[in-house]
Amino acid sequence: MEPLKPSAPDRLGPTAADDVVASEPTCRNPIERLGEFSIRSVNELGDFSVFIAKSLCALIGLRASLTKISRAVFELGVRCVPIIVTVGCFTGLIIGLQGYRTLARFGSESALGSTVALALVNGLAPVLAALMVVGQSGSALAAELGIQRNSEQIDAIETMGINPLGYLIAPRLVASLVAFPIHTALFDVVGIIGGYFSGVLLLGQQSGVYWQNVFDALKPDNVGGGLVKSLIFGFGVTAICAFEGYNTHRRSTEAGARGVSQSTTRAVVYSSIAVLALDYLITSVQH
Amino acid sequence: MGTPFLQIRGLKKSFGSRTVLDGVDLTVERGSITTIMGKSGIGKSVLLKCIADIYQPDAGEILIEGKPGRGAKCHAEGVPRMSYLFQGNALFDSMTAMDNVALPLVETTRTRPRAAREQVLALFQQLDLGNVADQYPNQMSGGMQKRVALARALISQPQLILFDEPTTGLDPQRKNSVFTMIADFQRKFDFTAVIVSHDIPEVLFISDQVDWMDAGKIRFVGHPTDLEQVRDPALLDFVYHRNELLSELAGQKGRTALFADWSDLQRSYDYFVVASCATERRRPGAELGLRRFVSYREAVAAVAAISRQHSDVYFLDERHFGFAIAGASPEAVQEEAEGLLRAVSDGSNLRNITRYHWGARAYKLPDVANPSALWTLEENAEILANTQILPK
Repeated sequence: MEPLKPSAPDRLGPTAADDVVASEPTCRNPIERLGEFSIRSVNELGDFSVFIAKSLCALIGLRASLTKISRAVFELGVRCVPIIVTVGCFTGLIIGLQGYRTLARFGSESALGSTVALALVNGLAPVLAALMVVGQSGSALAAELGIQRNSEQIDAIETMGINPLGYLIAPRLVASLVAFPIHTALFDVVGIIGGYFSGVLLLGQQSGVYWQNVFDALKPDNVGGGLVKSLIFGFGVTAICAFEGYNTHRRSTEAGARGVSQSTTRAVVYSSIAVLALDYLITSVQH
Repeated sequence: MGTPFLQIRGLKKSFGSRTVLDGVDLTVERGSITTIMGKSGIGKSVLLKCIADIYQPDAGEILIEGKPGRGAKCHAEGVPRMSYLFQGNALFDSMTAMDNVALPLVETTRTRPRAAREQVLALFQQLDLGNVADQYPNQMSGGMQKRVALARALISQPQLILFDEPTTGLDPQRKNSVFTMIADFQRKFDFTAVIVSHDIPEVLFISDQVDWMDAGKIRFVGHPTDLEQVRDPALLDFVYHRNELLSELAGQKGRTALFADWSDLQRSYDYFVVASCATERRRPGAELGLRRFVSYREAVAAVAAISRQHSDVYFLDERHFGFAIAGASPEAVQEEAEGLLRAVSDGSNLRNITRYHWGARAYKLPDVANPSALWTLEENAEILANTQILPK
């Protein structure tokens, strides 16, 4: 048998700090540091892509995959419903209030229904719903995986011959494709009702005018565009949070609880930035 | 001699600029218990994790029954599979004990959930875990969690189990209990065990082979009794520091001291035996009036009361017992040894003795299939009967 060939740096080290020390740039020249940063970023992007690809491949042959996906939909979806309803309601109330006053300057109060519907369906609802889910479920996912990594539970899964990416990550990625559009749709409905409360019940617009405008504004393109965004956001933020939590030992500068804390913070920050950046990109493409 | 069960050659592993394993060579025989000792941070756990395929070695080879294989993947290639008992147990805290143990069955075999549950319950019965099936890890004691982790390691009937410091954080009684459990189940389930442990001398009583790691290499390989002859100051310091301290504090004699005393006995007697054993009973010798951590003088006096020959007794802790007997004829020595062992075990038989080996330099063991393995009651009797006592 041939001896094992020297391997690439391990996924794991004795401590997270060791890996960090090993990968610390020794150069101080700003250009070199920029180059170092660029190379590291590309490497991380590559790692992230491989992580997603491997997780999706692990779906093949996953035992009781429907049960696992259903459980993940429940955890990801049901847990976030209260916050989606709350934030959706207040967003609708605010848009209704602000929109009515702005439109009143031009004598176009009757367009309030379409303003609320369009602002929510293809713009705010997917973004805000995704941000709420990041705060609620994404952070929990990153923390849970980080703790599982630190307490060697993920290593234990591997030693049992179970693919941890298939067991822990893949069902959640699939669940995000189910849960996020539902969250967005719920946000839309609650937000439009919120707009009705502020525009019709508080400010006195006619109910029939409001709803007619809403129905006129809601075209399949608008609704579909919002749902496509929610699919992309959902998959993206779940993948980012899972990646950060799963690799907490490798990506944090400190080990243990502080490492998990760093991973969770990074997961929330990167996911939020990703949602806004993707929203800009998708909106640019759609229009 | 056949192919060793596990063979490691020239294994190297570095993390950044820090070399942890620097050419480790290790051979483990089938059905044996091998203990890897060494200072903290020397790379023992890294070695186990390389075997389990958690870490990727930089160089070297790992062979199982002569074929390359690491971790759980080796099962798919027809090579026997392995389990890993983590230092912190690595139980899933959101799952019950039942779900934790059933997980490998449900996820890696075609076992139906109901059948898996039955298998787990049967194993729980064997491990005295009957009442924890529906408990979560945080509802169990440390010792109980260790048993559940062992159950999870055993459920897939592995041929190799890697134990990473299995007694960390346990009190002395629980440590002994875990080691006894490992020895007992190793005999019952016939797996090969590799243990990383600092617990000297407890772990030595169940080990067939001891490997000492230092500076990234294995620097000592041998039977636990071979440690009596080592001259390496670093190893001597590591092995005997705690052992001698414990003996001193407890007023007992360590094995080294006991052997040293035999120079006097050899001058007086023609035949003698030195033996040590670990029993599953607590306080072996209690019926002789011996207390736990009995002083050396008290022990000798108590054993001498039932002994016709010159006897010497030492205790390492409340489950480990050793003795030395000398006499004018081999029959007298043998009879004395048998009587003492019976008295120590439970007064009637040797059923509770899990380890029993002869350490006398003047003894010749009969040819047995595996001299360092744990012997059953019947085997003990047979070996005892066929042991040739050499004249001085």
